[in-house]
Amino acid sequence: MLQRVDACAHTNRWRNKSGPVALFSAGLMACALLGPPLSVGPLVWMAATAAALFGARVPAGLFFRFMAVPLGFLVTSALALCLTVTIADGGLAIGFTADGARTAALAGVRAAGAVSVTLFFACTVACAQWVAMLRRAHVPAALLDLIQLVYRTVFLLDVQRAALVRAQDNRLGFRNTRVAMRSTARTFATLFVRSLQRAARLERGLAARGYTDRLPVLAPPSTATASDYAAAVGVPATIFTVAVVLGKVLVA
Amino acid sequence: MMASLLETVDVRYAYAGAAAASSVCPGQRAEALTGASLAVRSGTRLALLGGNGSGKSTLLLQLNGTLRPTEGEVHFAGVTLDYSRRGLTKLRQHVALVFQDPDDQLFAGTLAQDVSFGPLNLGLDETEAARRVAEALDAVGLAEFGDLPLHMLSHGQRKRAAIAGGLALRPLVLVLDEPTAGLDPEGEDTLLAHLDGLHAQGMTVVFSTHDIQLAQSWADEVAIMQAGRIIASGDAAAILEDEDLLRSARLRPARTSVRHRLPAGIAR
Repeated sequence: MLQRVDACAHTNRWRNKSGPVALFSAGLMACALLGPPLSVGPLVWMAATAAALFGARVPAGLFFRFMAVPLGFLVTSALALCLTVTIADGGLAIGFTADGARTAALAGVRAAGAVSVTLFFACTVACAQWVAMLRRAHVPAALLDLIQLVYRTVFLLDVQRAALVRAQDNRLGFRNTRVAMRSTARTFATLFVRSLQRAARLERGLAARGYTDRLPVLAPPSTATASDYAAAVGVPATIFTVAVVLGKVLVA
Repeated sequence: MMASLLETVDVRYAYAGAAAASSVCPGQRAEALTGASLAVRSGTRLALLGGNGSGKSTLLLQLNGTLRPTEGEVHFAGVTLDYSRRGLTKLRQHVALVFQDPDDQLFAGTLAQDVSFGPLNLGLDETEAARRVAEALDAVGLAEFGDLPLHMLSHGQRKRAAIAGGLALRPLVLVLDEPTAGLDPEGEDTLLAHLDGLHAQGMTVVFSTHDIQLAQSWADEVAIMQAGRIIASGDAAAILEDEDLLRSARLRPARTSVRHRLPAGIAR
């Protein structure tokens, strides 16, 4: 999933418009957090999903599969708010509370909207792009260099993890639960050591390329226009206005 | 005879802990380099040949100051290397080193960003750095891949990406550690074609390998390493004719195939 989302962020139709996309995401997120939940949640969810699927051309299968995980957590949490479990007359009694259901619905739709915005951002803005934005925002360079190295290392280690698991599997390392747990533990222990070795080798490699104490790189190219920025502000503003009006109608 | 552009003189080097390992394991050398002297002439393509553990990679790391000799000297353009930060920065503009594993030196979010690291370290402005990035990517045939993250490139492409990172500094010498290791024949041909182009522009190329055929077909000069020392160096054609010399350095002469070395029953 990690590889697929990252690949999508680097290949989607809006990959070189990260500025407006980030602004649009920030606007939608503000809507989701500040607007009346029952109306703004679905509107934000629809806007983020439509922008991802029809604007950035994120594959629908990827977007909805990616969304399934946080939505699963949301549903579980909502159930916990709706249901009550008590011990009465020597047995378990499961009940349903209207107040709990209302709270769950309000929190759920707001959270679903916010989650869709986060996923939209993850699928459309690559790490290099958002690091460049943070650099322009004067976030300390040392922190951004660290993010850059962690990003690269995560993918290197992921390749090693997959190779280790394959090698263990070929030698019956996952033939039953007990052995599988031991193999998994060994994989993580090996990855820890390899990450240290990888860091030492990268340090030497960067030293050979003239590294002193900074990792300066060019910002990725951008093809964003003024109209892109205008849309990135206008759409969330419109959604917020509609959500407020709808919210009043729903309350009335 | 033309003066050497890059030269190591009686260089010795020991990795931390190697002496302790050799004390309990007699087969293990205490020093990776035991007095290696190598001369690289300007404009040449020099292949450094030797078996595993002969010290090839360690010697290459001395050439741009990544490692500092415990004894002996390294000279660039007739001047002994200055290991201060300023001295190394200056040296690395002229001598670019490409590691055997490209992942040892690639770090950035996208290919173009990674290649821009060197030029920006030189203090160039973004316009000039972008120009050099485009030029370097074009030289290795990766011009269309600049916006991709490094993990989306193949091993062969990452090898060329690592070379582009060095080329963006416009070096005089390109030093490559086992450049064709892990490449299929097509990847090897592509890489050598790009290196040919760079050499044709006047770049000096030093590379390590244990592939005699590669050295025979591509190098002008060779140096043979054994047990941390150069045991022979000079014209490629002349040295690679000496089968006894190659065998003593744990190398397989080009005419000897694996089939000849197998027991007769297996070979049939």
